[in-house]
Amino acid sequence: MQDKIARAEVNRKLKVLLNHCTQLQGQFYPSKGPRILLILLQKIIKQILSRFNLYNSIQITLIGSLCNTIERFIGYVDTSEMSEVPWSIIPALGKLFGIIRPNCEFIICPVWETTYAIYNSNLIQDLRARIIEAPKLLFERDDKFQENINNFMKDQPQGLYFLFYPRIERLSVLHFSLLGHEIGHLSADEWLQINWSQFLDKFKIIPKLSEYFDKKLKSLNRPPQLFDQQYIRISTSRSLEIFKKIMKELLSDIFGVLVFGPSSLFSSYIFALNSQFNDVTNVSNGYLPWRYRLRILKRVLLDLNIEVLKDKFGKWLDLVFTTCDDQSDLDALRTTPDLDYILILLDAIDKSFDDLCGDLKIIVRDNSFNKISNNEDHNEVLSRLKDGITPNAIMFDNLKEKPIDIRTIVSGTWSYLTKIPLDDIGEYLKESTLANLLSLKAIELSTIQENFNNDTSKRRNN
Amino acid sequence: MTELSYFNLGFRSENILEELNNLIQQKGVNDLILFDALSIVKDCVSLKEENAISNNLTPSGYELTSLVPLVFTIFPGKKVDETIAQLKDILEAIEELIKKEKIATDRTEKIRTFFSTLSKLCLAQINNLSVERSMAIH
Repeated sequence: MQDKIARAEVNRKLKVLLNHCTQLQGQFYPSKGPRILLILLQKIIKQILSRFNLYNSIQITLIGSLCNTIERFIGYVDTSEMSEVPWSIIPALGKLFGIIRPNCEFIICPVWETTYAIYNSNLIQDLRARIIEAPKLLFERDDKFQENINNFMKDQPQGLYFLFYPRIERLSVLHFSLLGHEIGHLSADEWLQINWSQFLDKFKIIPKLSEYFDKKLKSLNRPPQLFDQQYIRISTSRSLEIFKKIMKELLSDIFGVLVFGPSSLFSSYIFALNSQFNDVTNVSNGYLPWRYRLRILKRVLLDLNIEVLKDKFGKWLDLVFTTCDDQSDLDALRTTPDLDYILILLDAIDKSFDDLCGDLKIIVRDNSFNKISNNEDHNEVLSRLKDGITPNAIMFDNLKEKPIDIRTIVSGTWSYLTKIPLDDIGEYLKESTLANLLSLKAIELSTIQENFNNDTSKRRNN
Repeated sequence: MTELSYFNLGFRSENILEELNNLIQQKGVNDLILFDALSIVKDCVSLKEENAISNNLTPSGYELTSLVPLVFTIFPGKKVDETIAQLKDILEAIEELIKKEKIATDRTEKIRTFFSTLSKLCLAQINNLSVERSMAIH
């Protein structure tokens, strides 16, 4: 009887989820991702229901747990409806996403906390490998198994990713560049898969870590013990995992600033104000002190002409650069017990910095901020914002318009912001809010105009 | 995606248990499911203790961080090298079954116990993750 009750309950849950998948398809979403996921989940649930009587009682319990996961995914989709997301930047975000993940979709999910994150597991791949290809779940394990799966997955994109951002920043264009860091995680993962072993070998990281932990044991001034070698081995292994997380974050930082330029520096600085610049409490999760990370961003930005930067961002730039130049974060790492081994990695990063940037520049290609930025567009953004006009395009004497790149819009908006006096916070907020709204609109218009121009050009060439 | 990995592993383990029941009852056996069993055990045999904190994947694509906590608790009281030795024996037994060789009843039982325990551990881990998630919210 217990088994029958459990079956009835799981069956009921599946039908409720199926109903939700159908209903939610009727909502408006700013990207294709939500609908793609809903349709795929709908197909999975229907197939499970069609084979329901073939599963044993433990499998039914497992499917019950699967319902919880599906429920969570549906929840993310539900929050990504048009009215909840900064839908005007979605086409622009899609274009940036396409730099490193062509033929992939994303779902932007607002959350009520100050967090930017990417679920950098490819959901299509995960659902395929773990659910659709689970033998006897959706299809019999026979010689038609692979054919059935391929048919089931026909017309799916190559990938699907969740991007989380703070709901509170829905109308903030200034923080858009932080999503650049999140998208950069996908490139960081690829870089690590290809280059991590070589990197470790080149800078002899493993021997250096082993030596570090060996010295620690020797400093205890006691005779060698049976499990000393095991301690060294496990500690080295644990440290390498932390190093990998740190590299992931730093590579994503570099990607973000290559794509967004100075905006990335300023939005990171503002984000860093949520904590302390020398905070080392999250190093084991891959987050170095913000002072170090800002210094990395500065180093990448020095590819741009520094005088031009000062001209555009003035005192704000001086403030951020002064914050970076202070190296007290390294002292904090050096003097915090059991964290000084991190300096082994930082030394390697320092020596390989140009190569790391070079590798990411290859991925970013012609989409780097350097390639698209120019003073004329930047000044047009400033001028339009001062006049209370959307800074989406630059108009020529013959009344033709050229859309301004979205990243120049964001950078120009930061530049405008840095020129507003901070003496009266009320006035500052009033002006910066207006600038934000105008720029959000500008990003939307610029993307639409660029797409229109590209379509028109294609049609003319055909 | 850890919950999906545990789901997949648990579901496959149950498939394998059913085929072993068919074998014991001398009914038809799906060889493809036995090959599945082989690939799972091969993944387990290659594990090391340090893998518990590794971000890498097994040859079948499971996260090492997902698999290691399960495998090294499947044989309670056994050390890592003893566990690997047990797994190697199970691997051999499955290979013999695939070759249609007769194996001793106690070895079939060993395979059954392994996958039965694995399935239950997967379910426990999924529940664990769900509780952790609820606690994080509260």
